[in-house]
Parts: sequence; structure tokens; C-alpha cells
Amino acid sequence: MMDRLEEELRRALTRKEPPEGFTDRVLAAARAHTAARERRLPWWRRSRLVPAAAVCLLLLAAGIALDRHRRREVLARGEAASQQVITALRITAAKLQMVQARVSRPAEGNNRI
Amino acid sequence: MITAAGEFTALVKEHQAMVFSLAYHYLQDRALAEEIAQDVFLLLHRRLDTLESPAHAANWLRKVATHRSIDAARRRKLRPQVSLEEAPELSVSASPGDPVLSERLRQMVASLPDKARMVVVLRYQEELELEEIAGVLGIPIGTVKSQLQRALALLRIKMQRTLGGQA
Repeated sequence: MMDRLEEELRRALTRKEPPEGFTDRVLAAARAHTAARERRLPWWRRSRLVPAAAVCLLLLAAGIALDRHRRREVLARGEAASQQVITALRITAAKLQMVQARVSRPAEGNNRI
Repeated sequence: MITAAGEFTALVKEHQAMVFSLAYHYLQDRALAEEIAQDVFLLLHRRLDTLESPAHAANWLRKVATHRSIDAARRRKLRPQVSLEEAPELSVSASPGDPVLSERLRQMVASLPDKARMVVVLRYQEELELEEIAGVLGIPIGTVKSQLQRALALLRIKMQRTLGGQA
């Protein structure tokens, strides 16, 4: 009896397909839910393009800032180098004046004798 | 992790009969069973990224469909509309696979107490072992065993009456 009952139960309780169009209704409801969720999101989170564009802009700004920094460094180094050259030229000119002064002194003495 | 929309469609197509039948055999209400099945799949859609594999998704669907059906029965007070004792006797043939006998058996199952009814549905629709049923329902295996034995005893008595001692 138990075997017969269990056998009949298995037969009576076999899986049944849901009514026609069930899959389409579920998929449509899922799409509607996704769309509703998207509408509730703030505008900057609705599309993946917005965060991607923000990242690109950030990278661009960082690149420009880095480039400017490097240019300033090069200019500063150039400025320092030119100052060093000017200082060196000044020192050289002073030394030359001193040498010229020494060279011209004995000539003045000979004239006196 | 399951994420693609195509995978969701495949999961719906593969498991819709299981989810719908669990609700239908438990509640004996086609419209309500469809509503529950749709809710279960929408919940799946929202939680797709938390499920690790198709097998995990199948177990999750079975568990959620089971509990949603039990909740729906409680909420809408879908106690058996016809008790086992009040159910009209039908004259059916004793031939195996008789559709009238199957329908009568479904009515008998529908008249069982809530928990016992779900134990029977999980055992004979889903072919689950007692341990698996205990896992789905969150009750001790001993309780599952006793409820199944009691349910089968009730059904056997009723079936003997229905078949007039043919079985």
C-alpha cells in the first residue's frame, strides 16, 4: 500500500509548467524593476559613462598639473644657471680689472725715475 | 557569481516549473502560485550578484519558494478549504496513473496540515531526502520524519476509502 501510495503521490505531484507567457512576464517585470531602480539613482550614477568621463577628466587635470610643474622646474633651473653665469662673469671681470691694475703699475714707476 | 541577464533568463526557464509547482501543489491555487513564482524570480533578479553558482541559485529558489508559499497560506488564511474528513468521496479506478486518482490525491494533500503538506510536496515533487527537507524548512529531521509518517498514514486511510479496498 505504501509503495502504491508513494508511487501515486509522485505521479500526482509531478512538476507542472506555469501558465503560458510566464517567462516573458517575469523578464518584463525584471526589466521594469531595473528601469525603475535606474530612475531612482542620481543622474551621475545612471550611466557608466559619467564615472568613466570623470576619471578621464581627473587624469587629464593631473597630467596638465604635472606638466606645468615640470616646466616651472626647468625654468627655475635655467634661471639659476644664468644667475651663476652672470656671477661668474662678474667675478671674472673683477679679477681682470685687478690684473690690469697690477700690469699698469710698474710702467707708472719707470716714468717717475 | 551570477550577473549576466542571459544567465537570469536561463535560470527562469530552467526552474520555473519547480518554483511554480511548489506553490501550486501547496496552495492549490494557480493564480496565487503564479504570483508567488513571479515574486520569487524577481527577488532572485535583485539578489543575483549574491549567488555563487547555478546550483546555489536552484537551492535558493527552492527554499524561498517554499517559505513564500507557507507565508502566503498563513497570510491569506488558506487553511484547507475542504478537510480530509469532509472531502467528498470520488469513485475512481485503481489503475495506476489514473488522472482522476491523481486529482483526488492532490485534494487529499491540500487537506493536510501546513507543515506536513509542505513535507509531502518536497518529498514527492522534489524527491528530496528527509535531511534536505529539514534543511529547507529549518526544522529537525525527526520532525520531518514524524510529519511525513503521519501524513502518509492519513493519506493511506483516505486512499483506501476512495479506492474501496482495491489498493
